Amino acid sequence: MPDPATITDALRAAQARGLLPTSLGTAELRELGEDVLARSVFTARGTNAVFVDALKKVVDELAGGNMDEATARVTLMETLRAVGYTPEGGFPDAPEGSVPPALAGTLQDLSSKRRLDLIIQTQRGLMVGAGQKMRGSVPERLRLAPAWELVRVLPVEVPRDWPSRWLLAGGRMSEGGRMIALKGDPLWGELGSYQNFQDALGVDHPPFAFNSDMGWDEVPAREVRRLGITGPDGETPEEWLASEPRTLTGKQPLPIPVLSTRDMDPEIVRTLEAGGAVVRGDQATIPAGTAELDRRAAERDARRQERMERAVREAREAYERGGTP
Amino acid sequence: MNVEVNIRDEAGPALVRIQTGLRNRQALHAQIARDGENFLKTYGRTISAEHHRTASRLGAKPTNHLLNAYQAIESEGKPELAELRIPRASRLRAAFGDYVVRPGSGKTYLTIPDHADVYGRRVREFPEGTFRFAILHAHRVFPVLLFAAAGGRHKAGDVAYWLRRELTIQADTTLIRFDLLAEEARDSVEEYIDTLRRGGEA
Repeated sequence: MPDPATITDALRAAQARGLLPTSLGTAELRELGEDVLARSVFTARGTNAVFVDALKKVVDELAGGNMDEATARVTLMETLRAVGYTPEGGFPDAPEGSVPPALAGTLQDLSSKRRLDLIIQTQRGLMVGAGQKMRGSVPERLRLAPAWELVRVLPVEVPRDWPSRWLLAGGRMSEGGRMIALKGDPLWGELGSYQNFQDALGVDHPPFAFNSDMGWDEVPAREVRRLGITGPDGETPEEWLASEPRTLTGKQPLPIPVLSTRDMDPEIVRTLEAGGAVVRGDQATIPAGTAELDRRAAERDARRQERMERAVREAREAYERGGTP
Repeated sequence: MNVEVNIRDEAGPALVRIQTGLRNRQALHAQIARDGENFLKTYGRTISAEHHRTASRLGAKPTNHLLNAYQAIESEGKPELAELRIPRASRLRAAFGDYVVRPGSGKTYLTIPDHADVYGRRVREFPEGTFRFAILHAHRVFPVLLFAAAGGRHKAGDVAYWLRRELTIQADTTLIRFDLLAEEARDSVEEYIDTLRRGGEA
């Protein structure tokens, strides 16, 4: 039992799910609907309840940071051995003919390294992504960083064309080809919808698709304003968050945000008020003025960039000296 | 001569807002936590792409264990502290000092892979009879697991795993730069206060 004080968001997301032993393949599982899948731990053609139960426990341990992937793989492999799984015959308790025989070592073989890696990495990625979404949706985080940026977390030799997917999902390219949208924007759901993309996982958070190696960075409010990021119908971040947007699955509304009128065009404030919005805060500023604050913000950005470059440079030097295995 | 003096308190509401904001430690800690998490994840993404010494030496595919560990970092602003949660079953543990790894219960040895065919994999993942136990004699004795037969990229007799009763993992202060996290936190506090000064809400 993990220490409640150190429980991770990924583990919270993992623990909220039930078990779904099934003989269906991935494509057939999709027919069950996103709601069932989002709340279930399953693996295609995993009919055995003992195995799926072990999978849930392993995912919980991974999500809690208490188990590494190699141990997870061995645990699942030993569970498969213990319940008598074979690639040719499947699980002994599965109804005859319910699962087609698999060639040992292929992705269809539940006990193959490739398959177990895929299961573990997908489940781990889903839990980390769900935890990140959960964490980014609390009111303080919505105010500090109202948008996500889609980023590649791992370089791959042949990347899928994510910019095209972004545009297909209804996204707009920001400065420098950056893919940024407000939290809760339906396009995140479109990006992970298997009605749009065959390899999608049916979620509105990273990794969006099998083996995508894509993730999220939070985008600070100031950057969002600078880039002019808006909601799907041109709403300001404040307007969008005030509308309590629902994700594609439509089951998880974001928390009610605190609406701020800071730096907002007075015309927009009047429009909001006329529209019945509850506008809190005022336009008061202290005499320091915005020029000084802008200068401080620019200096801060420069310090942060320099800090990151220094950290990477020093890590690289230490690594080359052999300090890091 | 008539002199009319109008006193308007323009700074008062802003000062009240700043005072209120500074009392709201959870919001302040949320800013510090978020910036710390982002700093570590961005840093981790950059350095872990370069840290594949063992995989490179063996000619194996990297496991991306370090990258995954960085991506699993979480943060939370609580009323009393800004919290960063680091996965303990990962190499990031070395950021907190030396530590000794010992085999789990019922096991005698740790297995250190030394061949591309076994890199990132556990002995138990292979069928029985894949390896044979041996003792190598050099300046001292080294228990090892050798490949029993040729296959993949190995020949019979190649070292697959070194066996150790325990392993001390040296501290690695470059994994998590606590000094730079403290600098980042200072900037987070400044940004938080500036947000309040601009009229933002805490």
